[in-house]
Amino acid sequence: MTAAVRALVKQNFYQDSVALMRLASEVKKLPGVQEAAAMMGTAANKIIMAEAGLETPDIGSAQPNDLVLAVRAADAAAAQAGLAKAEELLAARHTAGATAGAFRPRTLETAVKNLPGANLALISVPGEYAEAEAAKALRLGLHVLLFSDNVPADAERRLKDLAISRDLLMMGPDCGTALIGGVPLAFANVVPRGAVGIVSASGTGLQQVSCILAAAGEGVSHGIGVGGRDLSEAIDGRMTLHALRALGADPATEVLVLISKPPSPAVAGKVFQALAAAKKPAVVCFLGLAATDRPKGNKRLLFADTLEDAALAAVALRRGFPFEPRPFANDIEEVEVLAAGQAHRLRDHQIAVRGIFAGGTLAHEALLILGELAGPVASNLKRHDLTPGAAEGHAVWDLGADEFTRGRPHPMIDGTLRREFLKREGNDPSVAVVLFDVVLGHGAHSDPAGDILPGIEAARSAAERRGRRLIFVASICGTAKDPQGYLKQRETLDEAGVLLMPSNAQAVRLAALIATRGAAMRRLRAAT
Amino acid sequence: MSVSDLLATEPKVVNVGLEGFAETLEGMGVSVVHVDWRPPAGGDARLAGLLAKLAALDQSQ
Amino acid sequence: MTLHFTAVTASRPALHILRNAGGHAGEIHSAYRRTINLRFPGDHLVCLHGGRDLVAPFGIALGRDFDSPAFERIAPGVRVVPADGTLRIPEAAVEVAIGRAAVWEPEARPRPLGSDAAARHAEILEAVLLQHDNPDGLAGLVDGADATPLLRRARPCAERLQQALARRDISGVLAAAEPLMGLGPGLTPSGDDFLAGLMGTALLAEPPAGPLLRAVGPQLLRLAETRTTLLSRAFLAHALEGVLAPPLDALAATMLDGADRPALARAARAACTLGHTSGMDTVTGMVFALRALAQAAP
Repeated sequence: MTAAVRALVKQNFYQDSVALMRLASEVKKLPGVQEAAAMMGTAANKIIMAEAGLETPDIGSAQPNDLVLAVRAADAAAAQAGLAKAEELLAARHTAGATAGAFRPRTLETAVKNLPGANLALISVPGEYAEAEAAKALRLGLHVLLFSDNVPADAERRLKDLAISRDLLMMGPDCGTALIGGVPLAFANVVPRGAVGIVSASGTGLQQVSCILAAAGEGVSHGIGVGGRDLSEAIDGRMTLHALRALGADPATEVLVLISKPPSPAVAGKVFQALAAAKKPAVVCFLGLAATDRPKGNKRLLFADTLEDAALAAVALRRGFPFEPRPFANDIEEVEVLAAGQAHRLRDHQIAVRGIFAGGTLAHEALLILGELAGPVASNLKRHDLTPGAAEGHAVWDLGADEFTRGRPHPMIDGTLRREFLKREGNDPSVAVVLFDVVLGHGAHSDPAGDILPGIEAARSAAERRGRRLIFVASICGTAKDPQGYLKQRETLDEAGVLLMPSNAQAVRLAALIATRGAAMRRLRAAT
Repeated sequence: MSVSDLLATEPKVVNVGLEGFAETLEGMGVSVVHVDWRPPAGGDARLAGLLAKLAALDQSQ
Repeated sequence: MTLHFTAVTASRPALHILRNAGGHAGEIHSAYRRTINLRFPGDHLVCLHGGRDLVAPFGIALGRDFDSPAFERIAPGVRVVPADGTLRIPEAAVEVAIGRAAVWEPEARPRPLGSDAAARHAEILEAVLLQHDNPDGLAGLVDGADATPLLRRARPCAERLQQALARRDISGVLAAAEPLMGLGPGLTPSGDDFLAGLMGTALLAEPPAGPLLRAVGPQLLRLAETRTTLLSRAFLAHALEGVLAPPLDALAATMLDGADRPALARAARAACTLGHTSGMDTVTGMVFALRALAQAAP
């Protein structure tokens, strides 16, 4: 069917360019319409129109001061309808409003002009453009959540200095999670509002702590991400200090929680000062900080070795009872029995725990706990060039690390790489326990448990074909209100025979207990 | 608005980059505008650097 | 019942045209939603438009948008009579008082611009254009992407024009300019705005080349007669005298006076807000003229 072209020439007629362009795009949306134009009838424009397949005798005789409306469509009826629409739009006497469908500004500036009260920019552009965009946002008076990574330290410093000079938050770079005013931003869980204010250099750290708070019946006032590098010497804790001051002054926040890897000593001092100045009870979780490095003498400052403990310590502070960390929510004897039962199913040479994580901080926590309880652990967190399959003995993989996410979606969004790793472990005769995390919340896969399931089943069958049983231990980082449906996720994993623990820390401990045939229990008891 | 003001109110978000974030926020009833972002200067690093400097100059007035 | 308007701002060139009409009537050339163009003997155009700020160097701003039934009686050919300080359109019972309007005078004066300065100014204007990131019009010419049919058509012409200008090749200028006339969307098509910016800048920034470039003028205008709107031709005519629309005139003046980068950027930004793409297209033309100047030996 040959296309039909219809045109209308209005002499000495014009409407402003924006209106004409809107007109043309509206007409193009009509069924059957292939091309539409609204232009002055100059020779040059006629050439352009001809190239777009818009040519009629009327167009040919149009003069430069005439307006040409032209439509090309699949058939005559559609073309005529398009032209009629064009005339209708032309006749409309009111000016085009800003609500012609979804408004898509092309720059931050325009966006801000069109969203009165805009106060936060969520920026996830490629790293090389991140500084410019974030700086723009800050100068426009917006707080920033900088999701982008691959932003150099000097750029981070400049951005944070700029933010602080304007009393703004610059969360990031590489900040995956924040909770501001009860709104989950980027990857975050649906967490009830409450009195615990969190400052975190880690995305999944913030997620784990807030989820456990929710499970305990507490809530979060605000969860401010500061980016993984904030407490390093290079950045000197700028944003952490700024955030702590803000939460210190925030009437909705009664207890503070700070999560990070251990800061450099110079920064640590400033942080402890800031916490003292905030005059609110606080919990510090510097994952990997040796007990001997903790400052003493501040009764309102509690130290937590794990993310779960950080949450539970905050709960204790809120409720006014002393915090006593325990290795398991259940009675330790019960867990021992469970572990022994599982261990019984293993062959003697099955001794290794293999952790396959989507959440970086959960992997880090696993690395620390496993290392304490079960001996040396290999990890790409320690050696970025660790080849999958090259690990002997215990290993922990952070599949969200840079080396695995180049050109690939993050494991929280897509389970393909995790399934591959799971299958590989199934083929490894030395593996006893496979350990993993399931992270829910906005931004994550719509069904992470279902997504990883085929990997679990493939690993299990691979092992069984060779006469081995594999044990799967996991934890779900999520809340009852998360979009994925917490209960459904749990069900899926239960039915697959995965042992589910209430937290990452407990899952790691159970895995260690099983793989060491209970030997880890000595160390566990010693720690409590 | 200052940090304390932000913490006392609700976020009104300008989303630059991954569209999914804006969709999620919209679904939650949060005020959000998505910026149809393209690399500035058509990907030309020299010009992009210039743009950034210009922006810095301009807004420090 | 006569409808009265009071002009808020009037450009000196428009007032000249009205005065030089010597009492002879002009006529409505074209009437659009926001603009009424008046043609006077000698084919001189005066543009009546809404808003406070002038959009043309031959403009008179009436301070408010048109939207009156009276304007339906304003059709091409209708007589317009200039008298002391007023413009009357008897057939439409409209009177425009001009006497109290603020008068705008072009600021930019011809002044030589060295090739280094030209290169620096070009970079700043390019950066401002790219910041606006408007896919419509010709601003995309400055960065090499050819995302629209318009840009693809215009690019070879713009580049040849730049080279011809640099070489003072008059016939090259004419040949490259012709395809740009009337090209693109808008009542003043983008190609024409580009040409106005290019020619205006070339004349202002390189006075020694003035006479040569002035020779091009009449031929360009003759071509424009049949190739583009009367309004565009009017802009081009003024540009060939070194007179551009007020925000662009201010930009040219800033450039020639050697103002610092922030001032230049501010002026460029203000110019870019003119019309939908008119301002940006004109600034793009300025960039190409500056690039031609930058090619000369320092």
